[in-house]
Amino acid sequence: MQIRALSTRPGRTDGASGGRYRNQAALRVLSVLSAFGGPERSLGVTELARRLGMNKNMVHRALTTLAVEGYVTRDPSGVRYQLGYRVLTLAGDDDEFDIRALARPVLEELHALTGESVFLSIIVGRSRVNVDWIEARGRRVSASRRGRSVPLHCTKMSRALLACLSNREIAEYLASAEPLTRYDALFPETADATAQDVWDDIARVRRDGFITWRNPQQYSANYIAFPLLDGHGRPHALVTVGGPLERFGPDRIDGLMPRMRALIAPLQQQCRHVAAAPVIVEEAA
Amino acid sequence: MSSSARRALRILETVGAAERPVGPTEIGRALGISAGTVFRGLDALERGGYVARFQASAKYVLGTSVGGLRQNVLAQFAIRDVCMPYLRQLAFASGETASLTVRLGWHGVRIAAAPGTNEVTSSPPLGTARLLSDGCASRVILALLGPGSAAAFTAWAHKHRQVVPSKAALDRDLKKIRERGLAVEETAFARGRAALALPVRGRAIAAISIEGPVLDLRRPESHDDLPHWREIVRSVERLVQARPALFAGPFDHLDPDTVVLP
Repeated sequence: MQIRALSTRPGRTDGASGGRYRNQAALRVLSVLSAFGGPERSLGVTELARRLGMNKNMVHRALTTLAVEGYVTRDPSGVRYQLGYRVLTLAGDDDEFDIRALARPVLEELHALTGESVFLSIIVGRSRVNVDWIEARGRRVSASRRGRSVPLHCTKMSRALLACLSNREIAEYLASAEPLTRYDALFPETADATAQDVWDDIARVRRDGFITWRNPQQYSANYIAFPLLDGHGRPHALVTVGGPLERFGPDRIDGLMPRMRALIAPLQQQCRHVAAAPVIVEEAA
Repeated sequence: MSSSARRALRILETVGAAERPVGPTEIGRALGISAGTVFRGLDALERGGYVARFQASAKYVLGTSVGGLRQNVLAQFAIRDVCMPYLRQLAFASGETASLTVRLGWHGVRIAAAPGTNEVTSSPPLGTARLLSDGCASRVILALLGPGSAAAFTAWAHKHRQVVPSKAALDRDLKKIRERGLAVEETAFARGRAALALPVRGRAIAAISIEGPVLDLRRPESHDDLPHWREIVRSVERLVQARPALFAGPFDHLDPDTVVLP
């Protein structure tokens, strides 16, 4: 985030007093603090002085004031300074990136458009977890237990998220998940899978930017899923629409495609501006 | 050193602590200084983007510079990003806000949160610091910090005139937390119900909390989903144990006794 640079030119006048700006010291201290809003983790006195156009003595005094209050602290080297813990306790509006809140309106619109069940899934460790959904009425694709984990190679929905990782990560994951048939009893739709089957699905998602699949095990359910990626192509989440085949078959999906894409595109755009949470798929000892 | 700078920081903290936009008169009353002096401080703060006028009125809210600096500090806690997906999973599994608290001096500070699905929430902002004796997340950390830490905490608290429970009461409670592997805290708005915190043990101790009234205060371990929640937190624990660097925080090099928060 940009922190505005403060002008600390001496002689700047205050409209009220007409004389020398009376808050010079406060301005200096605040501009030293602002300098820590950049990408550097720590800054030295000389560096700050050069950057802010102050002499080292002024910078040193400003840092001392800020350090007494906990707004800056010495870094581990003991020579340079870093932002202090006191900054944290200035409660602000955090406007934290919340993928669930951001995606919710789109899930509702997709549900209204299709009349089918809609899901939002994220990667948690080595699994996919659905963190929001809207279930359709009547005959429908139903949701699993709240917050249940599904391994990243089991179910096509999981594979659509797995596809968003790098080839190296996927290979590492697949190697450590052997035997891939371990969870077949729980996820019959992708039973007897080989690593090649998983790679084939990954290639499809990557080629099309979405994936559709039929689930022969679940009353012939049919699905379409769209990944939400950050600016580096890392996965935030996956949006899936699923319905019974007789109602939500390939033709209907084709017909709805332009409108589904139009609903999802702005959300995909928003997601690109925020870095996704890191994914660590390697198995912890 | 410059009192106008310190005054500006006090004004900034007052604006930050206020629950709604505040004007110079109100700030002056809170700090015992004149509205004119406050106005000069606000002017300096406004120039730096630390405060901003609320909808072009004469009242102020925190400015964008504060958010930028806060994000900069938060981003230095590696565990925060790594934890986020797990917090989202917990928030959805429990319906309540799930949060991460790490140790900062003799305080626990809330550095990450995933909002729950329930509409009613009373979660504090990120950066909220509580004494290690105060609240379930803090107490889980204190209980698992290791031998002697409760005594060191109490000694520090007395030196800094902090109000803390008696050593005996604290010891009793910490013992129970160690036995259960969980701390509970009665929720103010739902009597008899409790929020909970579970420990994340690694190179340091952190706590993951579910901040809503999910447990029965008298029988906290009877909840059907508790094993599932514990399993999610254990996944985080395994991750940070395999990669100790994830537990590195920006203030690890500071002597806890020197960290003084308001």
